[in-house]
Amino acid sequence: MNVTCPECGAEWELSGVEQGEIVTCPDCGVDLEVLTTNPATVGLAPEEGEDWGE
Amino acid sequence: MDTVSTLPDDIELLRRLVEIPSLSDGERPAVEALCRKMEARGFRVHVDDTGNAIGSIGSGKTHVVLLGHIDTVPGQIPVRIENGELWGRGAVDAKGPLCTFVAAASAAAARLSATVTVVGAVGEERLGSPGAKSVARWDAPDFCVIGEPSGWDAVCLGYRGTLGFHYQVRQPSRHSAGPGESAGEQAIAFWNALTTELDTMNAANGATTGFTTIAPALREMHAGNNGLQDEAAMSIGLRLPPGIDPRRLQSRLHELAAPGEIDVTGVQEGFRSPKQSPLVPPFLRAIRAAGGTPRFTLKLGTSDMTIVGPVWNCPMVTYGPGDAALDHTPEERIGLDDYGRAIRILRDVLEAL
Repeated sequence: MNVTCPECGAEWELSGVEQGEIVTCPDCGVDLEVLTTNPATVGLAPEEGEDWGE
Repeated sequence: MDTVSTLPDDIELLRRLVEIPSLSDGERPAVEALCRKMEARGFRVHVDDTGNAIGSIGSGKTHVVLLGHIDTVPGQIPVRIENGELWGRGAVDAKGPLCTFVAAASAAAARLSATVTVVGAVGEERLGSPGAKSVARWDAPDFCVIGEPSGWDAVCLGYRGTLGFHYQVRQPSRHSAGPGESAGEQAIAFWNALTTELDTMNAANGATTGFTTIAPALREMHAGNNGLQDEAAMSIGLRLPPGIDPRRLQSRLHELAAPGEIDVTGVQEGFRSPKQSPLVPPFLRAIRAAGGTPRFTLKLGTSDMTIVGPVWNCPMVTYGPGDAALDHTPEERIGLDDYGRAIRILRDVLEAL
C-alpha cells in the first residue's frame, strides 16, 4: 500500500510494518511513524528532545 | 488525554516505598519491603548478593528485565499527598518508575507471554552503580526497560556517559614574586587547555546538540601552600556522548595534565538506542491509546542504562513517570494521575512483548 511522506510528498509502497514503527522516507530521509497499517499512513516521528536529568 | 483513576493499592505501594529512607548503602529495609510487596502480588522474589531486590513474574521464554533503582540521594522531604501529588525523596527519582514496573507487571500477569523480572537496584546514586553492575553479569534479556523519569508520554533513548578524575599538581614552595607559575596557575592553565581541547574535539565530531557534546564540569578546586610545598587540585567530570572512547580520552588527559597528575575515579561510556528499536512501537501505540502525543528524549545525565546497555546490547529504552527536573530537589513529588497513566502504558507494552 502506498504512503505519502508529509515532509516532501514522496510516495512509496510500505508493507510488513507495525503501528508505531519508525521508518525513513526513502526520498528525503526524514523519520516517520507508522500511524495506521490498514490502510497504511505515516506521520512525522515524535520529536527528539533533550533534558539534563537522570 | 484519558481520565485516570490510579488504583489505591498502587498508590499505597509507592507511598510505602517512599516512606522508607533508602540512601545509597542503606537500602536494605526498602529492599525487603519491596520484596514483600512484590511477593504479595505474585512475584517470585529474592535479594541477590549485591543487595538488589529481584522479583519475577510470568513464565514465557521471552525475558524482559525492568531495571529500576531503589536508592535515593539525601534530603528528607515529609511524605504526603497534596492536590493529587505524592511528595517525598525518591518519589520521582526513581521509586515512582520502580513502582510503575511492579504495578504494571502484576497488572499484566494474566496476559503475559514473557517472563518479566523487576530489579530494584542498589547504589545507582553513588559512584560505581554496584547494583546494575551485578545485574549486567546476567545473560542478556530479550528486552530491557530502565526506570527513570521522563514523563508518562516520553520514551528515553539514551544517556551520556561520564569520565570523572582528580587532577593534582605539586611543586616545592617558591616566592610569589619569583619566576615561574604557582601550582594554582598551572591548574588553571590545565583547565583552559582541557576546555580548548574539548572544543576542538566537539567541532571535529560535528557535535551540534547537548547530547553529542563532551561537556566538562569543575566540581571542586583547591590551591594552597604549606610553606614547603605548593599544590593545587581539581575534581573534574566529563559527560561523554555515545561513541566517545574513554580510554583514548584518558591518554590525552594525561598529556595535557603534565607535569600534574590525573587519577581517574570513574568511567562509563554513553549509550543510545535507535528509534527503530522493537520496543518503540508498543510504547508509541500505548501512549497514543492513552491520549498522549509521544516524545523521544535524550538525557544529558547518566543512568544505569549506560551500565547494562553496552553489555547487553538488547532492545532497550528508559521509561518512567515524573518530571526529571524535580530529581534531587526539595520539591520532589509525582502526580498520581501520571503514575497511573504510566502503569497502564507499561502494562500494555508488556502484554505486547
